[in-house]
Amino acid sequence: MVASLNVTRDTKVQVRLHASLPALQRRLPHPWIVASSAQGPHAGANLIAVFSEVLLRQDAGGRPAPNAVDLSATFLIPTVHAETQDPATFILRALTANPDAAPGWFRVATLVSAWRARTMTGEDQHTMVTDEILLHAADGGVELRLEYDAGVPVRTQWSTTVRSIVNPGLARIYRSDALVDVVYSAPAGVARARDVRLNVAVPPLRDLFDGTERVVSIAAVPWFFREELALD
Amino acid sequence: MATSGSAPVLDSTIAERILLGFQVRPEVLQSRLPAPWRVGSTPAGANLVVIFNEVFLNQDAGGAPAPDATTRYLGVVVPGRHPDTREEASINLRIFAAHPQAIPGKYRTSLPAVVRREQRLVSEGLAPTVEEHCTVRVSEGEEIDLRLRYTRGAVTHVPTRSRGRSSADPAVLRVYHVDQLAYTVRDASKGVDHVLDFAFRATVAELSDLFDGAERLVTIVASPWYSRRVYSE
Repeated sequence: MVASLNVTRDTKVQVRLHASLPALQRRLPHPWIVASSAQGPHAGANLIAVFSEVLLRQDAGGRPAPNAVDLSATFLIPTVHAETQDPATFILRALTANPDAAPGWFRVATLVSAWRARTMTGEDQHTMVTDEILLHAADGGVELRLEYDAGVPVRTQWSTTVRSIVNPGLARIYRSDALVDVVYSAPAGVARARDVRLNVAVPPLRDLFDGTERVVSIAAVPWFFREELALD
Repeated sequence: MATSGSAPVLDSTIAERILLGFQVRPEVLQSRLPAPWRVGSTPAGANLVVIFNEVFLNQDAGGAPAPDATTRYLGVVVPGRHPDTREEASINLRIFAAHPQAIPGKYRTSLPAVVRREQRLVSEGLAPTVEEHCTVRVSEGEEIDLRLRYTRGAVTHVPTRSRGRSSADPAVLRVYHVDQLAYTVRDASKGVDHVLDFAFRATVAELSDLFDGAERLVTIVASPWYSRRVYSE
């Protein structure tokens, strides 16, 4: 049995994109290759931007971790090992508002100033959300703004191996349990999101956000639980 | 299917909640409890708890979305104690629920209401300021209205187990296994008070003896991350 390293409870917005395949592939170490989603609401996505508001991260002993709270954006590439076909998600870059989370265990996080405004208005079964997140560093930043009508979320559990782009040997297993509400999906024809604006002006990601990228799907995650495990 | 000992899970809920703990005249509470239950109190000294629930997902025993999968409701409960068995349970007096499929509900105490909630959360760095405005309209002129603003600090992981019984039929028992994050906005017993603005008004006729001006707010607890499984025993 593998011991839990930490657990995280948070809320998220996940934006899946289709970006330049060569620009993604050249970042990956051999023999990993980009593996975009083949089907479903995220079909065609090969880059994931995850905006997280961490409510509490606890260490293995249940105590608040140094990075117990956070407001962050993380950029991920879904991949597969060309020889073994093992899937893994490479963590490419993270922007964090918590000084104790930079550079982080995966060595990819930079410290930013963060601002978020979220308004939820609901009456009976209808809920409308506006969300605006700004993460700003000296050399650029990330901005997400959207408005959406919330739907009935789907409870989903999954497990992922996450590896660092700067050192694939830095790897952990994430076991997640979440409520996922896909508010926009081009492949599935879901269009409950409006006024979506995603601006990524982070110099190391410039070739991924060169204007040719397109949003494939957006998922609101109002409830998220993750257990982080060491890789055997 | 998950079980608690030999008891199967009845249902599960993932939500966000605000709890208000009041001290009200015990005699008016006692008159509402089924015999032989006695009025108790929470660790913070409240003998009446009002809970605003924003339900992201209700699931049935098999994990499928329940008929009232997403909803919002307000619960009114009294911490109770059975003098013979020494059982402690939250006695559900009333629920005002937005979803028609939640009537009369598992405790058989639910009435329909129009439930409105507006939440605004602004984070500058890592400490958000939260504004809440919840309105439960039971009928024309009968409302429960909460306005609350506070700056949220470090939340605490508070797993709990508790028992709920119905004032309409105390044989109805629901055993809660809760995993939640909680932030104590106010606890008069500990001198904690992070409230920036607060207003509460209840003009519902059937609650008029509970909120007659003599009630005293003692606790406010916000739970921005809440998950529970409910068992039959």
